[in-house]
Amino acid sequence: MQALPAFRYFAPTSVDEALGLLAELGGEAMPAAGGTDLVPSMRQGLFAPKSVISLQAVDALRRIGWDDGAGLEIGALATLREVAADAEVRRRFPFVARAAHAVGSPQLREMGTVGGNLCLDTRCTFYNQSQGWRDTRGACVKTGGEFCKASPNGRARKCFAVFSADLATALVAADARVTLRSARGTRTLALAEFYTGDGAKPNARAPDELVTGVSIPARMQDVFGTYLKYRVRQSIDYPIAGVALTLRADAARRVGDEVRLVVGGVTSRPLVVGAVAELLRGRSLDDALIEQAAALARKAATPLANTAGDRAHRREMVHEMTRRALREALNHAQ
Amino acid sequence: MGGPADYAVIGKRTTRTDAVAKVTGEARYATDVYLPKMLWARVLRSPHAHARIVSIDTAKARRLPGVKAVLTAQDVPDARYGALVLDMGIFARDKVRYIGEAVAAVAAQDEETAAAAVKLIEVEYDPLPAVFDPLQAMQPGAPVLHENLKGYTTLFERTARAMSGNVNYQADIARGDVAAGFAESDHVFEDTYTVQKQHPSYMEPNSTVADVDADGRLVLYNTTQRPHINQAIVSALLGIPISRIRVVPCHVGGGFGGKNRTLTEPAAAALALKTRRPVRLTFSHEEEFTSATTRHAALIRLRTGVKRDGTLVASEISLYYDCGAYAPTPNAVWLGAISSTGPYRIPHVRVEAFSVYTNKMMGGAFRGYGVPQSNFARESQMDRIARELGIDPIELRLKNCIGAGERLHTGQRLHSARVRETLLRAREMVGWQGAQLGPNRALGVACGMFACGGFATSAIVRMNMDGTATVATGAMDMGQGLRTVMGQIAAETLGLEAADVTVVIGDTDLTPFDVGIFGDRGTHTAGQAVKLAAEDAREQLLASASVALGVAPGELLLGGKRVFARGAPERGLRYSDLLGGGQYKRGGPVIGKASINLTEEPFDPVLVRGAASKMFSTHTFATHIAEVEVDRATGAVKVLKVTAVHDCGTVINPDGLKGQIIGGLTSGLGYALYEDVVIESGQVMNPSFLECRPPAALDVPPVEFDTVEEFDSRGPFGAKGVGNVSVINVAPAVANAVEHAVGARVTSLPITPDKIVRALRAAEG
Repeated sequence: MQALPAFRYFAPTSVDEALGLLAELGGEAMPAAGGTDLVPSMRQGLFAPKSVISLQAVDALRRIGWDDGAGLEIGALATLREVAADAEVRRRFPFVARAAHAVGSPQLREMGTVGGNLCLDTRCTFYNQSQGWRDTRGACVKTGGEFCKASPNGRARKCFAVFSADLATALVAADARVTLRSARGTRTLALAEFYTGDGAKPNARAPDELVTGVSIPARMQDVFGTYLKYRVRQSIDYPIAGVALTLRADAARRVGDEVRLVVGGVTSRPLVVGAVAELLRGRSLDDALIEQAAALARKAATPLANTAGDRAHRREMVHEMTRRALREALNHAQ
Repeated sequence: MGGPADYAVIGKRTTRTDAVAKVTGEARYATDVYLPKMLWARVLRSPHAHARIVSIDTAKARRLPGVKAVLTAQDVPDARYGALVLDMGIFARDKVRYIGEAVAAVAAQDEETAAAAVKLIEVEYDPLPAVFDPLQAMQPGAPVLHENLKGYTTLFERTARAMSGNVNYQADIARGDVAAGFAESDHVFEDTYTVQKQHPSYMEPNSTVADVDADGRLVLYNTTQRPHINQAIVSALLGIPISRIRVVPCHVGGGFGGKNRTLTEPAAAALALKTRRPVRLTFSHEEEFTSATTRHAALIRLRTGVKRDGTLVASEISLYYDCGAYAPTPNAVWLGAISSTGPYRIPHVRVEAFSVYTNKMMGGAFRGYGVPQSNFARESQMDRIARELGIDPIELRLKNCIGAGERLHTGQRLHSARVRETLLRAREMVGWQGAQLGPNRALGVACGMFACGGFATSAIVRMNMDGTATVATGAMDMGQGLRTVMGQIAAETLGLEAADVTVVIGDTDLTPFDVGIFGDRGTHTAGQAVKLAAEDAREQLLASASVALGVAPGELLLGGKRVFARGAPERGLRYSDLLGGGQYKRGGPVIGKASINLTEEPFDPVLVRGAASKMFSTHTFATHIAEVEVDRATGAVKVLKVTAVHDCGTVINPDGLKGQIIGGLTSGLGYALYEDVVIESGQVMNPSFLECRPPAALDVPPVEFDTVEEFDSRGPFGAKGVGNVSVINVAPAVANAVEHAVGARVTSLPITPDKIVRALRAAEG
């Protein structure tokens, strides 16, 4: 860790004020919510924004609320602790509360926000290091170089840094939509579409945009959901594999159209494994089907040696967590 | 010999002397020291694992506004320091030998300027072939790290003779006739174990603020376990007399052996002398993981011969400790060798122990000091022997465990050794009915031995005019609570309450010499000096009272801060009367002192070649039983409970003991399951607490502990130590429990889930 580089600090108190600053400062500014991801990265010299726009005082973005029509709306500034503790979230989407609670430690959940979790930077052994450490190996794709240091032979021209946000993975499974605002206007898109799959530029936020909130459609409240996080320690650690599943099955355990399996912690995005949904749709859940589905998830999850943990084991854990998630769904349906 | 029940202070709960200061945040640590006009230092570090330094150009850095000094090896004396072999300078000279080695240092008006200046230093390197594995480093033709090794100063002549190539220390122990022993054996077991590098994970990084005082003396405010040794090392490195240096240690934010080092002091001192201003040098957390010291990674081979009934007959032991690029504590492998038989009676033993240079960050002292490595091997193999011979693992250990009065393979006689009782008590506490508890759940047992205490120390106990006492000891409190324990020892001896004793520690101007707190020396050795000094003060007090009261000293008793006649308590004087105005009439002030070295005679040269020290004062023992549950599918290990029974002699501070046992367990769990400083091509890949993964609060299971009553004749009130022995059994106990739970034997640490899954797959075929 090194000293924070110098920057201008802004603390707007309204969304419009924040958007005005972003429009004016553009690519030279970075918004900061809880700062739990941004500040350590700045101290490692990964970002050196000329301006930091703190959103801490933008109280309008803190709200968590349920509406029978609009569903669950969570402001970007709601903290992970607030989401994990919120009565509506716990009642209607317990797996979302669980995913929020799985992040870091109490201190990190107290500061970390939903918006920050959605915009979490991708991570890599060769990237999340000090300037001095990285200098010994030269720049990687994510730091402006030509090749990915984690790729076999170091010849890939793409960044494979890993997306590890627990809550975001669960929210993608919940078919959440994300709202982005800028001085130019407002857009909402499916959270799954927010992620690019490019480790170097993991999400679609434009420099002048602010993630203002996320919503889960009302129909999802009676869909079974779960989030399983596999890690070595009981706290702090990022997921070795995070698996989120939403699924609606009838009394005969037949899976309906509403089914999503999302894997975090192994690729550069919350990985929606479409093949699993296709396999399950219209079929009756049983052990054999679960095995097939888990094998498909494993096949889709292709980690590089770029985070802690043995590569083969990480894939195996995708398999195992998928299997466990589906068994939970099966038990729930019975 | 009194038991704990007879004591007023010893063995009783008491508030830590630093409790309030630490809870309120008032306690001053080295990084809290801000002096007027203080400069900030940063170190330029090698990006190469092994390279010749062709040139260093500091001109640009020196021209940067705000930079006050830039130093390289050319600006400091060509002097080296180390433990057995003096191999390391303040800065790399001619060559760099690991990624992270100090090449130059800058002092500037602020941290940012210092960091910017470091980047402006231009170094031209000529990379050399590097070697990262100790066994490869021992091969002929391997890259040699220290070409002039034979020319370095060594502290032991025998050590010097054994040094060659990349081997910087070698010890051999031979007792009995191993060939004959194997011939007599019914079974011979041969296993290889490997263990990783583990960082001590103290929260507070290494830090020194160096200042030059009004008299021109160098003053070092630092975080250390060994202020007096730091004083001597800085003196030797910078060529200034010891008396011109004062080390003022601050509260230590965890040491665990890792602060039994000299890392920031010399460079900070050199910069302060150069600039004549205070200079602060604090390691970043990354520097902690790349440029401080870790537990030595090691490879251990055991070949052990056993009778059908489980009697150990012979053992051949090879220890290869990966020392890294310099050898600040090569003798870790010596401690490993002493404990490599486990606490067992083995008639025929041969040990060969090597400390080997590699192009990696240094191995150093860390809680357990060389023993967690060898004990993991010994206790893992003991379980294998038990399983293959169909003997209960506790019975096998009971059958072979050593007792007081017996001699170790080193020839040292054990003063006290109740390992047997620790096994019995632990077995009783867990209600042992065998290791298996249920599907995927089991117990694992391990016991161990640690050479405890010894070496030079001293203490002064002054009686104050108000009847209280002030203890001065050079031994450091590194957070383990030594200050409180020293106060209890003096209080008990002088008939005071613990709160009546002020303890001054560490400051080299105010305290007498101590060699440093390591190897369970604190309570046992420094405490014995405090006790003897307090007894000296008591004798003086009694002599003074004898004159005042007209009663023979032998007829006087102490209590309630009074001296009084036996059988006539009304005939007495308060300490304050004796020591206040009175003391000037009846002789001088009361000052007790003691100067001791609890180290015993040298090891028998017939048995031992290359001993790194004289014999230790005594030995501590413990048994740990871990209860684990293993998830077969993920390989995740959940440690449900740990039971620990220690033979640590008399318990002086029960809360301190509990803290040491839980702390040791935590370190041991990290070693067993999580922590690993991963080095690839010489570079530390995970230089952070996030990625190196010491256990966090949720990972530490409930602990049940007890002690077996024991009085060690060499320690104060019979006390031994517990800091090191509390670590050494955890990894093998967990490994053994994992095998009993799921049938997977993992022979390399840490026992990560992927290794368990792989072992299970292999077992399933």
